[in-house]
Amino acid sequence: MSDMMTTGVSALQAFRQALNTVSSNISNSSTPGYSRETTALQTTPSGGVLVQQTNRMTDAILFQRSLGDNASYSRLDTFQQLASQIDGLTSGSTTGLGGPLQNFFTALNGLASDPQSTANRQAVLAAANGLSDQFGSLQSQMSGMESNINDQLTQAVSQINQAASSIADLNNRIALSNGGPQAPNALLDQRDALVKQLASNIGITTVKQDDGSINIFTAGGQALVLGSNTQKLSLVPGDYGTGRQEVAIGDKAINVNSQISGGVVGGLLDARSQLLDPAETALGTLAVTLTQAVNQQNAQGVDQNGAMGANIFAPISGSALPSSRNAGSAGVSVGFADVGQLTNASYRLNYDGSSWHLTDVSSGAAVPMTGAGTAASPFVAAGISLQISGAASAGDSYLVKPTAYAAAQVQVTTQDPAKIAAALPISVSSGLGNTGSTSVAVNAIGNAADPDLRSPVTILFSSPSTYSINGSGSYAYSAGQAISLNGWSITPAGAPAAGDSFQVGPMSANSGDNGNAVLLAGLSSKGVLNGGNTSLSAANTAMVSQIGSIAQLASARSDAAQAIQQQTQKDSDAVSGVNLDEEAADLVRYQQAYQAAAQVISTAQNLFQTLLSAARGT
Amino acid sequence: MRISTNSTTDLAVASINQQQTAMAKLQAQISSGQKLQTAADDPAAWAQGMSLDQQIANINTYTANVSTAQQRLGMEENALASSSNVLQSISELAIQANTATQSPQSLQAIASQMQQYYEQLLSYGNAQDGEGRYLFAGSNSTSLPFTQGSSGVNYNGDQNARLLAIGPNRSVADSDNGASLFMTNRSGNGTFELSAAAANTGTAQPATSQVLDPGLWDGGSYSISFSGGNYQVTDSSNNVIGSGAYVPGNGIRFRGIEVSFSGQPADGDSFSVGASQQKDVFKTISDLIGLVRNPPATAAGRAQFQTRMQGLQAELSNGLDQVVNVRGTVGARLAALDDASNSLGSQLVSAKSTLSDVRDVDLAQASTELNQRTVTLQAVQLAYAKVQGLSLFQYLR
Repeated sequence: MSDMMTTGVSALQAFRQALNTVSSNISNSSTPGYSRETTALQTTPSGGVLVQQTNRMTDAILFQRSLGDNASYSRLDTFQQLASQIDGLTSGSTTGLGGPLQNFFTALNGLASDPQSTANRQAVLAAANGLSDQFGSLQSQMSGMESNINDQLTQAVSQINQAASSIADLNNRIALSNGGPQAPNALLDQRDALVKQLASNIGITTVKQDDGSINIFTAGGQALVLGSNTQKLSLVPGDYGTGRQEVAIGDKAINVNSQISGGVVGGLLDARSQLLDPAETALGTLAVTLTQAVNQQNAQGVDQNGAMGANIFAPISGSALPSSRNAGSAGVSVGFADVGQLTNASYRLNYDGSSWHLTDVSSGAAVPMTGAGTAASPFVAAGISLQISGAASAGDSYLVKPTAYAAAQVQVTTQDPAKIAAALPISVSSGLGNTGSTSVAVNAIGNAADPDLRSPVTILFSSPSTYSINGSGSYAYSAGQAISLNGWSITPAGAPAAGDSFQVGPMSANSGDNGNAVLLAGLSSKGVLNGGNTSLSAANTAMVSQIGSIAQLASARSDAAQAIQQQTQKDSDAVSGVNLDEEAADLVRYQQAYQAAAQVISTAQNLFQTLLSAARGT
Repeated sequence: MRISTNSTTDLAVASINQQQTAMAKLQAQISSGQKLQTAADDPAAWAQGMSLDQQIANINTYTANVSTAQQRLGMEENALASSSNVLQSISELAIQANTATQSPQSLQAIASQMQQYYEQLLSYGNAQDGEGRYLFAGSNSTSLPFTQGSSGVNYNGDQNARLLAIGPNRSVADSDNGASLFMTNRSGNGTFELSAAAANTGTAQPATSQVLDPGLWDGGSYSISFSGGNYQVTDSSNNVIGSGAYVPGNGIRFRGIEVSFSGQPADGDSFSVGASQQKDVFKTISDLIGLVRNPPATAAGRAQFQTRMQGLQAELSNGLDQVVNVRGTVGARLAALDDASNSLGSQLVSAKSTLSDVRDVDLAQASTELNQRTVTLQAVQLAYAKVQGLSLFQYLR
């Protein structure tokens, strides 16, 4: 009977605990990170029941899977958000370059149709200013994204450090209770939640230790948590003064930026290299090409005052950032030798103590340079020219990003509408008495810098096959041939006859000639980039659609990663999540068992009473 | 499989989110009228849209240039029509003046009338467009192209042509310079000119003059002299290069040209033949006026008058041809502009319709899809409410 009493009491205790577990499940059914618990019951040798352990229902494989899923979803989602920001920026009808570019060339075309109209000239300047503003605004938006990325990195790193130290603390407490009768379920739940958060932020691998603690490493292998110790992440300025914060680890702040690949931090770093770098470079290349092409063309004509055209846009210089470790004091200035040869690559310029070497940053391949690096003979490679000033020390290096920050430099230098060179620098005419060829056309201004470009020249044909220049010399000629001199080239129409003459002279001021304005307007569709194969508008379209493709792909990949993450979440909910119906059933089950156990005790008591009264009765 | 109570809610929320995202997108499409909001929606279509935008901008530019050129060439065409009328009238006056019945008074009247036309022609040459720029001054369009100087009319413009683009790789000159219009004419018949020696006493005058073979004509100076019923052609070194009996109306041929005479030359009369020189049409008219103001008094003088008159009439007719030629090219350009305008118009329609296919939303399709999404959303909400209502706890009261 005392056995019956003992077993009854053990059952009461066990079911009481089981009911506690059920109520704990019910109350935490919506708590994030909570794992469902079940009560494991065991028979005692005396026939009673004993709570062996309150089990935490988890699946280690699903947990590992969710770490990977979180890391890749956060990475792709972070990237996707930034990609869609840039996409919105470049595609937008008010923020993109397409509209201002078109306006500029439409205005130039208006100028070509009436070069003497001041209103048309003002319109060109206004459109040039609009274009410069748009370049500046796009660049400043992108710089804004750079600082936004820095801020987000700061935030992510501080979350990572907090989570890592909490995990180390939990590791400590979990290790203390290791080997005890009951696993510290609540602590394990807390730790799992923190580990998942850490995975979302940076992407990690975990290694479980015998004492129940876990060690955490980044995907690149750096230890973040070792038992109860942590290594802190920190942010250090990039080596080349790009204004970019980079990830470093430990007390000595060792730069591990290139080894980070997962989570929010990985997504932010991806955005820099896969999104901002190409976008800024493409935008900068457009800026450099446009300003240079317009300036060069303007320099080939004469303005309304009759002077050779000056720059409309300020010339742009490329960027070469010195390493913070440089010991020498050399400066590197970057010019653009041939915009058609520009690539999207960044380069590293190294000095080995005796000579300079240029390497492609992404491929590591050496890029051969010509020239000596001096002002007279700069290094020339891949469309850029590099000029070194001052003394460099062996081991000094520079990061050359030719066009990365160029868009901010697009500035209109003149606000005088007369300064737009709409007319050709020379005016040509045929002699009124010509009998063979009665008109002459300018083919091209080959060298606008020729000092004699606008000197008056008379070409006189002494026979259909010979001509003299300014009354001297005798040059062979065949019909249709161009005559080139002093930087210009002209072709008489038809076949000149003996006695035919042609005059070349300077174009007068306030001329109605539109020869250069037509060429300026024609820059819109002229192949100026990419080895002369791509026009400015085509390059802009390519840039916008390339960023669009990146954003589209990013969004698709992020959606896919989200679906995978949700699937894993669903799978682990199936193991760890609370089902209230199930708990309701358990509640009823344990309640009934509890009542039955109470009944056992009551019966035992009755039996005892019966026995007592029987004894009393005898 | 176990379903946790939370995942039921998560599932419903995820699916409601998904529907609402799609609906927001459709709403943006319908309200903006555009299928694509950013390049990410469809990068290839977006790029196509951008290049169509560019194409439409180009077409609009070309169209604007076409109408500018049409307007300018239209004005030029007017000035040219008036100029050719004036030249025509002067020719008619010259024919009138060339009849023997004119009295000195009527010749003076004709000369005054010619002077009027001369002034008119000059003013047509100085015609301006609506903005006060001279049509025929080349690129020097702010200075008066034709001015009367002491030795004739000067051309102050230049010969630069202003080309306007009316298509890719296609452009049209929006004007012609005055030099090619009035200043590049040549004296005589354009190849050679025939003049009578001042001392001629006979009544011979040129009847015809033509170029038979331009390849044989060397541009030299020749003299045709008459003596004893014969003619003789000598070159500038006095070498005889042709001779024969003079028969009125019979052609005298040498160096690829042929001239014939009517009337009777006196012995020793001669005519000289020389290469045509550049002579502007204003000079021709003023020569004509000078000739008409001084009518001949004798038969020999009459022959001189006729000889000069014939030369000037040929020049005038060449001058008229020149204007008519230029007018012909203007007409051809205007016709080309009409063609270009039509073709640009249809290109614009086609580019716009392609752009609309690429970029514009199909409203019927979008609203249908919005409806479907709405129905699905309502179904999800209903399903969630149903599932949520099922709880064992309700039965355990």
